[in-house]
Amino acid sequence: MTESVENEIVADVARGLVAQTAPQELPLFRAMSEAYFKDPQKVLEQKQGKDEMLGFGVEIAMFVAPVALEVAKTVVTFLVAELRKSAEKEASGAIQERVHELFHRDTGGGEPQPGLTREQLARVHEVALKKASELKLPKPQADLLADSVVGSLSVA
Amino acid sequence: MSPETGAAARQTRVDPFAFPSDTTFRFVLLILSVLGASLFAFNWVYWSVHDVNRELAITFRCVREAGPVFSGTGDPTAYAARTSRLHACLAGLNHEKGRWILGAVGLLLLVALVVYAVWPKWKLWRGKLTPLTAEDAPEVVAYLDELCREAGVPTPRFVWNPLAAGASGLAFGRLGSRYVALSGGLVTTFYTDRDAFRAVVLHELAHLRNGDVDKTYFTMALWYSFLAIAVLPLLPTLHDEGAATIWRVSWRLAALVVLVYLSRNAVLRAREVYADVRASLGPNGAPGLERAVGKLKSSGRRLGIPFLHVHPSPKERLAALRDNDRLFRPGLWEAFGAGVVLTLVYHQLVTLITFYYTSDTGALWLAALIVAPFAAGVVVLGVWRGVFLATVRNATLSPLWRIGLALGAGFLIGEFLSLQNLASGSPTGEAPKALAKIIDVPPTRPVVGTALFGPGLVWGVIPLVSLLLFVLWIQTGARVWLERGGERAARWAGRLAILAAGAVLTVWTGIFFLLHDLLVQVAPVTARIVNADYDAIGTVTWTGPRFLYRLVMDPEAQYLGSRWPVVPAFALLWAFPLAAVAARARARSAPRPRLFVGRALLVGAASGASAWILLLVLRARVHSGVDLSIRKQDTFILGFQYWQLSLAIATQVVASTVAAAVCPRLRIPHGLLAGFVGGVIGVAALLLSVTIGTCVRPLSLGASGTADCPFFVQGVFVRQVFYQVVGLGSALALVAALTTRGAVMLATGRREQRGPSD
Repeated sequence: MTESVENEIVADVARGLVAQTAPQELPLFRAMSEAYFKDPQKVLEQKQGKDEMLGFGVEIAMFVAPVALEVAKTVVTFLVAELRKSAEKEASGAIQERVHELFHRDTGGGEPQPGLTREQLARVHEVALKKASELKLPKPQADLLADSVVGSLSVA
Repeated sequence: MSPETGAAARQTRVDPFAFPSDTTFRFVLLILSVLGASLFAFNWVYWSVHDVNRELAITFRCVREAGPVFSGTGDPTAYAARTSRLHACLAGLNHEKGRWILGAVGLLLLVALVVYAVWPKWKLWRGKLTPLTAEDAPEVVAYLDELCREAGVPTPRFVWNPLAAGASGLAFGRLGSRYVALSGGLVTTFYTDRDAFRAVVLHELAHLRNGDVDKTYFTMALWYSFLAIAVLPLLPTLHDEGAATIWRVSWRLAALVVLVYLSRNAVLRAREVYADVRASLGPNGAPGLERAVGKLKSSGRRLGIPFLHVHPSPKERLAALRDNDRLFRPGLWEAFGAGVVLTLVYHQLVTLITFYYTSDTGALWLAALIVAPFAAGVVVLGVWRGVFLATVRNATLSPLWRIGLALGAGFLIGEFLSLQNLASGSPTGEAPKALAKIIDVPPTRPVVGTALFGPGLVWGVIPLVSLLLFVLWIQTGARVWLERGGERAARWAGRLAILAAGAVLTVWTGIFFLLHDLLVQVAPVTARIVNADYDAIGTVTWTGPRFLYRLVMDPEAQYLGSRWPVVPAFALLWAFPLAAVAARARARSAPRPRLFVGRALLVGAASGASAWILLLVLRARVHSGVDLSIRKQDTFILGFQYWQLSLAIATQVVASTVAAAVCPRLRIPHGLLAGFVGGVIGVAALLLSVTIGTCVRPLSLGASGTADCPFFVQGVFVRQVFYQVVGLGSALALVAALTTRGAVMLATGRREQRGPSD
């Protein structure tokens, strides 16, 4: 799978997650995803500003968007690996397409493709939750994010 | 005021923007203190990079050619000629040094301006800030426009960093280019917590409205420029100095740096509170402000030490938001800081001005004029705010004597810290010692020094007492103006008070250092002259006690009194508070506290008239009782002049005492007014008596009888007598009024304190 295509899918998935879990961050999403693909670690650090002259800084909850991007990347990587296992001879372009379709099963105009199994969805939920927790997203938001990932894959 | 009314008043918020901002003056003082320290540093560096021996050789030659310092002390013309010769000879050297130092100051300012100008660009780059456009968040941009209209500020350029976590805003920029930066986190609060978003943005817009951006960033730019252009180049020049010199320079420089740093932080903290209050005073308020302040992040807080922070603690900010009254309480540290800067900067300015301005006292006045009005402004605004609040709340005013003592203590500490006390930044060693020997003038000792614990104690007491009285005078003016003119008077009368207090503090500073730095040095010489005159007069007529003769006739007292700013400054002491008699009442129903200007005028006029009669009686007695041969002698004429002057001066003392006793309010200003009127009439009587004496034989003193009738004294003499009598007389009238007030307080068991203070 080429990196740019994968990034496109990750951004696409993450935007959907942000729209569902933290819609107030949508205005930031474009800039944040661009920065994320340049240097993920920098965006994930979420640095607070310092005490500046004439500044007024209030501590607020951490951004969801960087976590959503990282979770989306992890899930997409997981799905690519899963699909590669089941269709080893398929070209990477086809696998990308399959992953994309998995997240857009309700919008595709073509023949519906088989979805993920219940076990695979559970694994996706587990992977997403684990990553969100690693990034210190509060538990309720981490749950919501993982649920959203699974929800977007489960739509029949 | 009934308890109910008091409670109602308590609920009303008092507008802290009714007065000009005191932080404007504090910023100016900060700038001046940085410039003052720079002047010292440049002076020091100048000596390090120039040929000291050449300069000393020129100075040696000039001093020798000008002649002994004290030659002609008794003859002003000769003295002035000697001074003029010396200045002319040293002009080349001084101008070269002045150009060098001014050039360095210019470079410092230029660097500061460049830093100030490029700072916004740097902030944009460093903060990865990009314009926030309608494309990014249309609702947010529209709302920001709305907030700008509400806050009454032109829309700045809103920029943002979408990646910045936390909900933060930041106002910055330069003249003609204002920015407000928003973090990505803050933009998200627009959707999740509109009140918090509104509070943060209104706070930043309040910084723009309060004019904080230019002051803050220019001060900071100047600070960095000072470190780079003044402090760093000075350090390597110390390598060839002795350990003691290095220590003396280093600790003072370090203290200065710390002082400026802490003052800067204090001013910035004050600006935050004012921005909060401004934001909360908007037409729709800022309901989320208290909540936002409560959630302020603590990053960047240094060691938990409040002085090191550029923001006040959330607790302090909340307290100020809930109780605006806190902003009206005069602060001790502000007064202390004003005192420190006053002396710290004053000395450096005198050094610089003396390179160009060769008048004996001009440099002192000019230096005082540059710094004292700003120090006075800080104190006046603090005191007026306190009095304003007490008037509005009908509450007791906290004692302001502490402010006076803080100002006085700052004055002394600033003098102690002054780098000027390190041999004026001039070279040290054997050659300068030899030069001092030739000049034969004892070196000027610092006001605060080892002598302070001995005979020099008086120099420590004078500023403390004087500045304490100065603050109490400001309080009196504020009280009477606000009581008679009401809160509406606060804005414009407060500005007048700044001007008046600035003038008084300027004159006082000039006189204090004139007395300390110059006149004390020549006191032994003038004392010899005056004592000789006293003894000579004593051979032909009665002279009274020696101390009285010295007080009236000592050239130093005459010199001080005859400086033209002295009499106007004394006049301001009574004129400003009593001018409130013209103030319109705050409300028809409110009683206007009464003043007794007519009574004081009457007392002054009666005293003056009495003096006139006494002068004529004196002339008649001299004409009839003293032989013409004695009357023609210079010593007798001098003695007669002394009697006349004493009488005119005594008139002011008597008038002041009587008026202070019979005017039940504002005793001291009424006393000073009466003394002034009595003094003016006394001077007129003295001068017109001369004319009368030339026309009325029984009152004539000279041999020519009425042949010169009518003879009028010359303008120069009129001016000299006026300043001498009214200058010295006003000082004594002030002492008399203070004493009378103290006596009245003792006699009435301090009951007066319940009424308006004076």
